[in-house]
Amino acid sequence: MVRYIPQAICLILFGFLFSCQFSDKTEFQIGDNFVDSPSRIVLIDTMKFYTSTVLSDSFATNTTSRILIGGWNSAITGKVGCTSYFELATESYSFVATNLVYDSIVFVMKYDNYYVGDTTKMMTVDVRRITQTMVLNTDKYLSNKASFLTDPKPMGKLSFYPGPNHGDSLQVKIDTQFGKTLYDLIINRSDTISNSTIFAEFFKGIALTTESSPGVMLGINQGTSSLVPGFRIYYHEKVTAEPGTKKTYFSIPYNADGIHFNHFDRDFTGSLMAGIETNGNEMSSDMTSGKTVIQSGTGLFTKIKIPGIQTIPGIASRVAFISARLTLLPLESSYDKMNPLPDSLTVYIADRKNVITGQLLTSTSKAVYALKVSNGEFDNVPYYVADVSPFFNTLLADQSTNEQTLFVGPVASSMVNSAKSVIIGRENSQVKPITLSVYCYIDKN
Amino acid sequence: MNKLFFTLIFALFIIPVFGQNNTNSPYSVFGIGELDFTGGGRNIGMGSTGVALRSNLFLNSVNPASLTAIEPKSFGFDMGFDMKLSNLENTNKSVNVLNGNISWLQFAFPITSRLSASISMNPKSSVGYIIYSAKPFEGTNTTYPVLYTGTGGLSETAISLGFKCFKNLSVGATMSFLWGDMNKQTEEFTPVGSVTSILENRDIHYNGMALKTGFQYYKSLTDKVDFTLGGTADFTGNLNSTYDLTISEVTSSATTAILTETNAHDDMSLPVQYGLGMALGFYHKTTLTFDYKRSDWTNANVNLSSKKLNINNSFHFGAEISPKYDTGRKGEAMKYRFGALYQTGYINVYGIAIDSYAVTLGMSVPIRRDRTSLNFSLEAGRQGTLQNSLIRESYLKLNCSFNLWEKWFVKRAYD
Repeated sequence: MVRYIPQAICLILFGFLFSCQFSDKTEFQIGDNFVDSPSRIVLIDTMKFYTSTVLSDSFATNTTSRILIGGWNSAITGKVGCTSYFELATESYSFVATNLVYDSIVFVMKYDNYYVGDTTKMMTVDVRRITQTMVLNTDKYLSNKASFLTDPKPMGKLSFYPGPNHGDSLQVKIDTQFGKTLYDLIINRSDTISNSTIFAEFFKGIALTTESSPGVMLGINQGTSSLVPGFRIYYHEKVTAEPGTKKTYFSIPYNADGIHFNHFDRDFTGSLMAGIETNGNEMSSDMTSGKTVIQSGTGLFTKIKIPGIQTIPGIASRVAFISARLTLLPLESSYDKMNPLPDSLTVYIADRKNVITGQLLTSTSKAVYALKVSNGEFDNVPYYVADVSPFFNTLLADQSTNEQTLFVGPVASSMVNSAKSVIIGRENSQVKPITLSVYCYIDKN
Repeated sequence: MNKLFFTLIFALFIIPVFGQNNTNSPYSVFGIGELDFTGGGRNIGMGSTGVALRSNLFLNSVNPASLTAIEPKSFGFDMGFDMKLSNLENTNKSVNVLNGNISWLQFAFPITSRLSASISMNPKSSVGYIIYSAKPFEGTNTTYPVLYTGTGGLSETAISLGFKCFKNLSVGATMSFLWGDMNKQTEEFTPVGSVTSILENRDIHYNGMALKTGFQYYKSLTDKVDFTLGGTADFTGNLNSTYDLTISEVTSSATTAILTETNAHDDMSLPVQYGLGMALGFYHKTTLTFDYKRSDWTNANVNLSSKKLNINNSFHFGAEISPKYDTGRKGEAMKYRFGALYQTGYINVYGIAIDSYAVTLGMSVPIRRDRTSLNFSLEAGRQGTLQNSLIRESYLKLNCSFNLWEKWFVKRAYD
């Protein structure tokens, strides 16, 4: 027995030595179909889906970061106009009360470079006094449809050719008598002017409206660093010894802490969207020559309903959904250098009643955007592409979510402070402007 | 009994080594992988013949009927190792690889004067490949790259019985259990959004039974010439395979499973292999063998389209010369072996059959008085083709084996 042990040890060691792999596996490149693999990745771009434009127009605008005035008109989206409501703030005024003389009052404002529409047309802006106390609604916000009463007679008006990219400020001459009233309150150190809250009881705020049908919607800067926008009450010191005057002013500027919101008016009459008027209404792209609309301010969304998502697991014996990509082509004539396309759009989820329930989020809770691609697959025309995989994942995981739809809309930040529209469509209505590419792993085994 | 105990302990040590089946051949992607020849060192040296080989010196697992040639009251142990140096080549690259493995382990012993038995273990197939290929991207006009990788293999444990029916006729049967694990991955490089590839991972476990039957008819034609005719039929029934599947999405930052399945079934059935062999012995010094084997893979179920499967015909020739053979000391003569083989191959890719051929050399060196020997065989062969960017494998396989004989159940006087 014992005499076998060295042999046995040798054999075992020998065995282990031999069964080693001495070389790393090497990769070889061989032609297609060398291996019969029952699995593959498929691109499904034939999945049926329905597109439409939906009006979902009740959204808070009292968070706006921009005063919007004016309006514009297009054959597709109709007329949209905006009135901006806001309160004014008082300052602490220092002056030597003797020998001051009141001169005049103006309302000063500055462009913030934003505009949409035609800037070549003259527009007239009216500064109106709000006559009804502004209060937030029971849900503590003011929507795009809220409005308050104003004095039928404007305090002042200005007609001008819009120059949104100019640094100039706009100065609207205000009723001198009203200016004198304010001047006296300041000079007399009245309680009314002692703080913004008390002042708001006296002067409820300003609404900036435009006359007739303006060609452009303009953005006015909210910034208060130089106390603009706001009233400037000019006065001078009566100097007896010297000739001439030294002119200066008191400011009653925009109150960033007060109530301020943009009210949007819309009129779809005669446009492609005529008939959509009511909140929640929907217009199939079949009725609008394949076009759908996205517009902030008015609340137009492009809706995509994909009823067949839950049939995906049935396309092969083993299926794993990988990814879904939504591509939207903007109508060729709907944008140009002056009215460029926004860089991104937001993808929302809505229920079957066309009520938006939230943004589409990735598994790591990042918002999904449809990003503009300027040169790519579609003959270098710009298009938007969104990875809507999370939507598919949700619907595939939970049968009860099958009535959810996708809404493509403006990014939330532009929702309340612009009226920009993106028209999804093709001049050739035979070409589908929206495509859905679904990638799946399938195993036919 | 000590020896029995010793051999069992030894077997326990060696079992884990099985299953480490090694190959680098891209052809091992097909079916159950590259099929290993199961036979002893003598068989390999003689062109992998063995259907009609009988010997009281060497174990021959090619035909269980040969077990009846074992001498009474003897116990045989045989074990072999392989070392294979391959050059794998296609139009893009050429690499040299070296692989080693235990090639078999066998114990044999007579039970009665007519009945003998053996227990054996050997690798059945080996899988080891990395293939970079392409797949059509369904739904588009393009293709996308795919990387296939696989490792693992099947092993076989068998019990064989040989029965001497008549003076000149023996029959035998081998029951074997096949088992093994493989890992096969397919990485599909289809960039879709942030997903750079889809990784399909299969951990496959196989098990199944196989039955091999054989006969040998032997007759002395003259007092100097012996003739043996042999036949085998190898039935591997269904091979049960269960696998765990994970499909994952690979992004630059993470790999996320998107589909998992456990205990999925994908059974295979291997074809019947028939073998017919002849052996002629002259003056007990020279033996000539010829084997023909045939297996029809076209009806096999090995996850390959039938277009890619062929009938495999193989032809084997072998010769063994023992110049100093002496009937009185028959275990102590050097033996020299030669052989050649050709296989049409069971795989057919792009209309080309993946055939193989080899020439063999071997020698047997007696190391102890009691018929124990050390065997060396060298096989030089080639498989595949360079056409259509396919792979050609040129290899040199060295096999070493030990052949040990002991008296069975006889206690040595001096032990």
